[in-house]
Amino acid sequence: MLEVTGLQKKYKEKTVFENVTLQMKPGEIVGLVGENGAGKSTLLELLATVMQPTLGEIELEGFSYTDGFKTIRRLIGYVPQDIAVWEEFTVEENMQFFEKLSWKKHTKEECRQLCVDMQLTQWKEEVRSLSGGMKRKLNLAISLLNDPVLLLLDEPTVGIDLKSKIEIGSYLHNLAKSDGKMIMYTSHDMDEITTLCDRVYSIGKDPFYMDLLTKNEIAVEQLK
Amino acid sequence: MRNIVSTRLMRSKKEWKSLLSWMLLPLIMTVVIMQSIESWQEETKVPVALVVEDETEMAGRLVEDIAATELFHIQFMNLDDALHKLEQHELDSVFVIRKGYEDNILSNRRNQLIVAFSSNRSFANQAVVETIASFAQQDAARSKAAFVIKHLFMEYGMEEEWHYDEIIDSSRDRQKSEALLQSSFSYYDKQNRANEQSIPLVKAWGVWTIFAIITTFFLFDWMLKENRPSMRQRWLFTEISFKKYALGSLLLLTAIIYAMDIITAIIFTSLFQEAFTIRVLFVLFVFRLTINLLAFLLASLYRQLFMYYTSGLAIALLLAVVGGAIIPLDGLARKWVWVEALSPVQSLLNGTIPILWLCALVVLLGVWFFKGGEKNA
Ligand SMILES: Nc1ncnc2c1ncn2[C@@H]1O[C@H](COP(=O)(O)OP(=O)(O)OP(=O)(O)O)[C@@H](O)[C@H]1O
Ligand SMILES: [Mg+2]
Repeated sequence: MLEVTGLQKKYKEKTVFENVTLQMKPGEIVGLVGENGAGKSTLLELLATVMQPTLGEIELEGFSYTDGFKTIRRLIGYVPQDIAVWEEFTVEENMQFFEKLSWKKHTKEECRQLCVDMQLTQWKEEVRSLSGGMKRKLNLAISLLNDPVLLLLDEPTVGIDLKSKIEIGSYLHNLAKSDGKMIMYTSHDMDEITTLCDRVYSIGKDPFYMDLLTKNEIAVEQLK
Repeated sequence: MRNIVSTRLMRSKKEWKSLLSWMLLPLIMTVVIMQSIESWQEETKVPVALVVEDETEMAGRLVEDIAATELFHIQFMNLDDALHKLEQHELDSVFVIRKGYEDNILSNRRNQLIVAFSSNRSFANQAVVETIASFAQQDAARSKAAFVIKHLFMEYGMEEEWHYDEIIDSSRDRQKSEALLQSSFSYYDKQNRANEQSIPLVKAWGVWTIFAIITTFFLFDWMLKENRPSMRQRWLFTEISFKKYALGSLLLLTAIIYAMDIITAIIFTSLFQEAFTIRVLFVLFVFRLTINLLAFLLASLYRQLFMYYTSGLAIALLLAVVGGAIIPLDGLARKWVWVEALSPVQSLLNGTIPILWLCALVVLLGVWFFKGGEKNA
């Protein structure tokens, strides 16, 4: 369970959003849409403990964020919008590096399988010689190493080819439906959102996404 | 710890070339600089030829005395060669210790003991003549004293107790122990001050510390590179936090770099006759720990590599100058003793432990490790 109540984020004078309240249940895939600068990344960063809110409460699996992040971080897999991998490492070394530092232990074969699940097969190749889409896949695979309860994905599939997108989508779907993970997902790709997500939050003042998604018969709720 | 070591090594393996060069640089630079100082000193010595015609003990001692003078580059050859080279201006002067040197001194005949040749380009000739003359003078004076003493003994009927050589030897020993040898040509010192001073004062360890501190700052730049803003989000979701990882890395790197320091100490022992004792190794270890902590903590303050490098460089130079690694601050330190105590460099050069530095840095390390453990920084 994820419960967010009355969340507000301000940068000095500028309020990104306020009074955001939402819930997520195990097994749910929830989309987050909105125009550029609406505050999608900001909301995910707050949920991921990367930033702290100016106001409001967040509770994950009964742990309040105000009581410290230590236990909460073990439950979270966060894929930042920017790619965060070692460029001079190979795919294998990246996976090994973060596996060694992770709570959850994996065999080398498991790490490799995780990459294959993300449609990334260049196991021995240096990251700096990979394409942008391949780096994104690795970015995703590393975040899954923790075996998180809550997965926060910030535009994870930007630049990823259609076939891989579909494969990754079905992997994530499986993760939610058979392992009961919660997945929050931002994307500008409406097809992806409508096929993958159980329901959607729209953030920002523009009713555009609201209208669009309602037309597509997707359960959508306006935040803020 | 095992996971920290293996992840650290994974990272370091990718940069082994630069790591190795930063670790070797202090040693290489010290050897190069010390050797060029040495050859420069050799070049600035006055080239002098000695033609030794007298083969007695006293003449031998005179030659030793002259050779021991750091100011001369002595070559031994026969008179013809020597004069030929003097004509070519390859020599500043030529001295001939003439046959019968000892006999003449012992019998108190003091003319023409040594003959000096110079050319019109002999710039140091006057000084050289005076120096060598002063050595001969000493021999003569000692012999004269011995001569007088011997006569006195004979006059008062205390025969055979003393011999010339014994008197001369004891006078020599006495002179050494009272360090009259140096003061006897202090007039020379003034003329060639810069020359003379540079000989013992540029110490191998002094040169080494400058480069060791500078390179240490470069060896710790991973603190910034591996915790750059884009990677920081990864470190939040690892069991081993960046701080633990960094601390483990600090220990591991200290061990590796210290091993290099030991190799350096061994090489310095054979090249520059520096001491190699447990004490030296211990002092070196404490110095290494101190500057590693310094670089580590400084790196934790910065986000931009350039700013970190710049301040590291500034700190390195400051510590080296204040600690007397470049120019010995004798005058300064006599006025303000605390100036030297401020730099761990001075501790290394004096073979003491920079306890103040070490304590302060360890406390700061503790503060760094325990402050804001919850935050993302
Ligand atoms: N450090 C900051 N200081 C001030 N304002 C900021 C800062 N970071 C983000 N913002 C503002 O917060 C708002 C939300 O940004 P955010 O990155 O969450 O948008 P987004 O919905 O993820 O946009 P995009 O679709 O482009 O990724 C933007 O208006 C942005 O200008
Ligand atoms: Mg964003």
